[in-house]
Amino acid sequence: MLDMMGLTFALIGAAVAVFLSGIGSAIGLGAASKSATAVLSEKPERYGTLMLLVLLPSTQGLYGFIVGLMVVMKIGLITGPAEIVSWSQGLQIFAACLPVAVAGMVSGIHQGRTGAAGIMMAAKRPELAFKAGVIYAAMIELYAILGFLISFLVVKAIQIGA
Amino acid sequence: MAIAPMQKVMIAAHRSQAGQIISALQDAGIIEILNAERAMVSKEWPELEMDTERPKDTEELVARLDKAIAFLKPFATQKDGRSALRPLVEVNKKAYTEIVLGSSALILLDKAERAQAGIEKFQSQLDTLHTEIQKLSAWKDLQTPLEQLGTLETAACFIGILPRQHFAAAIAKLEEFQAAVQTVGGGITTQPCLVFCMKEVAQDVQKALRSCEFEPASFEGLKGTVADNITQRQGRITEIERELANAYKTATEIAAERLKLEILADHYQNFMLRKQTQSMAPATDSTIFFEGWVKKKDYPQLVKLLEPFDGADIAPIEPGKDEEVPVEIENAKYVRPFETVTRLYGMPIPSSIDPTVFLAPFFAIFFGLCMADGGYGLILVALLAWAVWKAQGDKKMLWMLLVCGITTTLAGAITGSWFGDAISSLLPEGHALEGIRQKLTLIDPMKDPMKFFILSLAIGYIQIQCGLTIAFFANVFKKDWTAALCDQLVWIFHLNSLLCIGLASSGVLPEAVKKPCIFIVFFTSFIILLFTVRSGGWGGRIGLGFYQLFSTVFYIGDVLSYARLLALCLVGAGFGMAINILVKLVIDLPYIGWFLGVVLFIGGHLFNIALSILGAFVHSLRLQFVEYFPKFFVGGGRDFTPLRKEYKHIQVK
Repeated sequence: MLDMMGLTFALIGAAVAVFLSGIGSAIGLGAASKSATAVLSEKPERYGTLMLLVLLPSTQGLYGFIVGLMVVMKIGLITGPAEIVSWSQGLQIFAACLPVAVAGMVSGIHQGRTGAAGIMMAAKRPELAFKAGVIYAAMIELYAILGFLISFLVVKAIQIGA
Repeated sequence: MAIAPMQKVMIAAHRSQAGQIISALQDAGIIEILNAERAMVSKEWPELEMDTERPKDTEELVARLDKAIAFLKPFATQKDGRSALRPLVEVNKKAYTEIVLGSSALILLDKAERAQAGIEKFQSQLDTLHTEIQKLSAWKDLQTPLEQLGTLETAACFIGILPRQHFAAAIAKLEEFQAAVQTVGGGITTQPCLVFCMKEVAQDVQKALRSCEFEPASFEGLKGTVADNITQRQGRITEIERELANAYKTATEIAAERLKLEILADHYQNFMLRKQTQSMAPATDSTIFFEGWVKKKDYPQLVKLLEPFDGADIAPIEPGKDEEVPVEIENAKYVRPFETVTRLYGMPIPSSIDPTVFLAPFFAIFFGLCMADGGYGLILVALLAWAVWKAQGDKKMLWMLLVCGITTTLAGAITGSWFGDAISSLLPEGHALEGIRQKLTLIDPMKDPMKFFILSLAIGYIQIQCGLTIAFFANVFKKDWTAALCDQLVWIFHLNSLLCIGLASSGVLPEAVKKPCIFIVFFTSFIILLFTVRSGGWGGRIGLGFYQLFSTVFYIGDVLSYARLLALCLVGAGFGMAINILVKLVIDLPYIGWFLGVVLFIGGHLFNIALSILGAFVHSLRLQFVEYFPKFFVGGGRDFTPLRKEYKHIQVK
């Protein structure tokens, strides 16, 4: 059973990367969507602008998904045959998944909330929707991007099967 | 390629010619006319007045037309060539004049308003009848004619509904007053009932009922049984629905001619604009003053335009002290599409520069690198070329995205990404396309992300240096030598020297470079410390100078921000790869494998394209607005808004 610990850690890492960043995106999208539907009931003509603000927090989930996919491919679960992963390598992969998982979740939630505020602002001041609403919300994503890059680069660099 | 120079002008005209002049000005669409509140002439001569009367009749007519058009829109079934890309109907001048001068559009407006009033009336009646039936349904088991209820001589009768949970308590209370309760049908949560009691205890019974949340029902004015009333109302509903169907048919017939209303609406909208501008202009009893702004190059055209009017004269005037000059940007044909980005941010102040030409190549490159997929790029180019060909009006945004589609294709070719890794993973080994792909590939971000990472940061560094250089030259042209030297040139040397030191330390540049660069860094640091903040006492200046020196870190942060180019490229490529893996998995399924594979491939990649466009657009925009613009650009200028004809529904040919 101990032989499988490495693989297990690696898979937990992949799962954490996907579901935590996914939670962030889901909560963020939920917050932004609620505001957008409220505004659209009064101003349906703003659909296009609001769609942009609603969709912004959707990328964090993708960052986590890509890292998760990288891990699954690295350990050969999809492309097969499965690699032998020592427990220390498994832990390394798990640690590598954490930046995108945590940064993705937190930034997704906050980006959604900022997007929701931007949507409320766009209802009254549509001319500010891009230069304030979208850009402020996009700023928050930087930290998910940094988390993703570190996770991606580290997962790629970890040598397994040796 | 710059901010258009503006000329302030004053047109003085006799009132008798004011209407014709303003019409000519609107046709030309080159002058922004200031109202009495903003015009300098009103400040110099406060005795000038503006018309207090608004063109109320026109405003009212435009509002009526807008309402009728909105009402008819859902009834328009005929195709008249409108689409999302071509929202305006083309109308020839003859048809336009006929509609505007004739009375058919006004008659149609009248008809549309009557149809709308009829439909609203029928819908309101239906709502009322449905509500009444809903109320009566609770009493459908009551057989007593409604006019007989509550007409007892010695007893009182209360009719209403009790909540089910209070019903038992109510019965117990009513027993104290020897009241009789007759239930009628009953729902899950409510119990309709009739309560009878002697008139002497009626008040006590009423109080007891109220304490049990008894909701009285009223059948005032109703005759016959409840069932009769329900049937009667249902009959009326059928009648009204028939009438409503006729009214809908009439509305559909009117909607077929709605173009007439739209022509009239656009005509009167422009007429109203003219009237409003005229009434807001400062004037005396016989003269009206149109003070405004025109692009310097359009001034001769404006003079020529006014030549036929013998009661009008035009002269260039000096702007008032601290008066805000409107801003309009003008760019060469190939750069113009990127004005979209500048306009999204807002106009520069008049003393700043138009950033469009400087952002255009960067925006296109960033967008391309973020999407970086040859297949996606080709789809984008094909779709946008079609949209540009089909679309009406302002196509700047479409052209800009078309250029971005080309850079996406190029970036995809360089990174070897064609619908993710479809060529290498879905096509048979040794396929000719794989050979071509490999030959074109220069950096594969999935295999060698560090190379792409360095490329992203390098492009970012170049953009920031560009921003500083532009600001340097802008200050040089303004002859602000101190700002050019202390705010830009020093920083250019400072940052480049630091970079050289870093590169020499990592062995990229020869070690010999280090020494002179360290000397330059010391020198530039000294200048930044003492001269970046150039006002206030020396203590404060040096204190703030330290902060400025520390802001070198912010430049590093700015450059790091360009790492998003790699992240978005990886996400697009990774998601494309995930789709291809799924396609490979389902394609081997018996019977439906190929079909599912094709559907998944198309649907998945379309989804990825949509998300990639969103990410690429937003993040390329952000890199311009947040990292690039602050280096050389000051926004907050007022848009130049000339009086011109605006069309919401039609396009006159």
